[in-house]
Amino acid sequence: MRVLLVEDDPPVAAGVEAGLALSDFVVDIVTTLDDARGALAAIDYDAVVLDRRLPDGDGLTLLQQWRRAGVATPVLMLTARDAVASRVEGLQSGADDYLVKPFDLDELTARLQALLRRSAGQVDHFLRHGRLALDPVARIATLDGAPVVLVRRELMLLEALIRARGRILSADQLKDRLYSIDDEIESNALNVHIYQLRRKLGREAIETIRGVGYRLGALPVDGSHSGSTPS
Amino acid sequence: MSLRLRLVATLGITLMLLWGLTAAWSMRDLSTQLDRSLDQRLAQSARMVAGLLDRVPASAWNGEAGEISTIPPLKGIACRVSSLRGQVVAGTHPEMNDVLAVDDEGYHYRDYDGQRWRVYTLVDDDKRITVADRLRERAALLDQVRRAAFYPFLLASIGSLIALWWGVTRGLSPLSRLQRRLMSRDHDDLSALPIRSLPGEIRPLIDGFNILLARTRRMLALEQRFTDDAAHELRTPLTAIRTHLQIARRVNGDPRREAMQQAEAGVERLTKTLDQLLLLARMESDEITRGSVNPTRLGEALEAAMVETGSRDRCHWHASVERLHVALSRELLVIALRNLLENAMRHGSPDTLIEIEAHETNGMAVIDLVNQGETIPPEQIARLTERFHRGNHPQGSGLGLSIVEAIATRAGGSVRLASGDGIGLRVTLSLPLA
Repeated sequence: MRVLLVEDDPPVAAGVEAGLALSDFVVDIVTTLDDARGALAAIDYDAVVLDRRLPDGDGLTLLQQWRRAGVATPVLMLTARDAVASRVEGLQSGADDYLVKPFDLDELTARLQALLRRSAGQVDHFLRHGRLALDPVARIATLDGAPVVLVRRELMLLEALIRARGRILSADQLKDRLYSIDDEIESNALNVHIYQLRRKLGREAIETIRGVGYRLGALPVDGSHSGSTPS
Repeated sequence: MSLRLRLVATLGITLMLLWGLTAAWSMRDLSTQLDRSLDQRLAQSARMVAGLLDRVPASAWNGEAGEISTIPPLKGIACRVSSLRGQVVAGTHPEMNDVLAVDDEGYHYRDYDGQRWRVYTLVDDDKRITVADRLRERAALLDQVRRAAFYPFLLASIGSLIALWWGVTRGLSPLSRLQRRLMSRDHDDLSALPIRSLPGEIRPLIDGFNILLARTRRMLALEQRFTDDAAHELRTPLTAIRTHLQIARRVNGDPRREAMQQAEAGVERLTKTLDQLLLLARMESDEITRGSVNPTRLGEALEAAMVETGSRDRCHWHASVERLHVALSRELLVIALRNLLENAMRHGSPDTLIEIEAHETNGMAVIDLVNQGETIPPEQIARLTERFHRGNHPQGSGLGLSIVEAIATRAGGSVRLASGDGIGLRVTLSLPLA
């Protein structure tokens, strides 16, 4: 899951990035409203964590601009002001959630997960696709109820594909979900992860649509599968 | 006591008193006048009787003695005609003969049967004519006149009191409107009161009130901003500390060390911000007063400040700095200089010198501290001493220059800031000489 963090204080930004990375979030950090505008225009983020007080203005102004422009990306606001009026103001301006500094890292993660779940229309926090289920909080994937051992990037890739709900995602879109702007990506890295996923979940788990991208294959509950399921 | 009640009471009582006095005075006058004219009528009637008797032959009462002509009596009026020798010739009230036997001409009072009479005696040639009025009739007449005058007076009084009440109420209606408007306001509503349609007397009052409201609004806004700023400055490092500590608990090896370092840096930053905030607060309270302080040698304080900030290599100072003694405690002078040096190190271009110079002018030590760097526009310069204002530099607490200014002001000195001509910032600190 890729998150845009708009925060001008370097120690806080570094901490939040490191903390979210522990839950497999891919975080891009920008420090000004201008950069945030540019970043959101360039990359399709799953959520934005927006500090209110930034060097070039109030994060609230940017949020209002986004909402007026029809940007529906979930936004979680961060602020040092804990007055009820200012929280209400934030929520009314289009924020989906609000956290007062200093916040708990687990709470931030949980709230972000909840925002993502809500924007995906999920009921519980499990992501499901046929025989596949993924717990985005515990970072566990199961096939027919049995756990599948996946490394971090494989899990992130699977999560992106399940969240796409049958939509085809291009290689670039998938890379956006896996890597931040600062990560160095080897050219065949994505192919390696897709190969590994197919090996562990079965060949039909991921379909390649030539020249367009990838999507999850149908994994009907009763259907047979040829993949190996590690115990 | 309400203004309306006070006005109505004062005016009403005064009015009633004046009217009462006037009425009493005219009543007294009325009774004197009435007495006088009734007396005149009494004399008149005696003369009329005398005139009539002149036409009656003298033999009519000189002849047979004892023949008394009795006239049927009228209520309250008596008459008696007698010869000079005292023989009664004619009369209305035979039983009052003794009472009416008055020898002297003129007005008298006589009592008969518990009643007082006004008696007038006229001596005409050979006869004496006495007429009398009962005073009770006169009193009754006066009563009737008084009563006739009293009711219109009472009505007029009540009417004018009502008119007074109405007039005062109407006159005070702008005040009532103002009162209603004030009562219906939210207690935290600080907007100005409308001044239109107010009478000239209360306009200055409301003007003053509005000025006070405006000042309160400004103060509250400033305070709100300070609170917000302080919350931000204190909570941001706390957030960093908390986040990094939570990370440290979950990772191992290098990332853990790094997270711990970040947390410690956060603690350091928080400590510094708190120290500076407390210093400012102390400066604002009277804890640090000007009073008598041991003079501090500027050179020594500068030395200490340079050591504390590790800026000695970058500072270049002129010998004149050494000699001056400043009327400021060593502690505060070092704090001021340290803040200025930190500022210069942080915002000055790297590897450029910080020039420090000092001289004496009009009993003040004037210390110039110049660092190279980007020119700061004038509108930014003005905001530099604002609390928590950090310009475009995220480091620092944004309190340094506020502290320097507070120290200088406390000591009776001043701080001036300037930028331009290749100078990043020139801080001119003036402090009184010891």
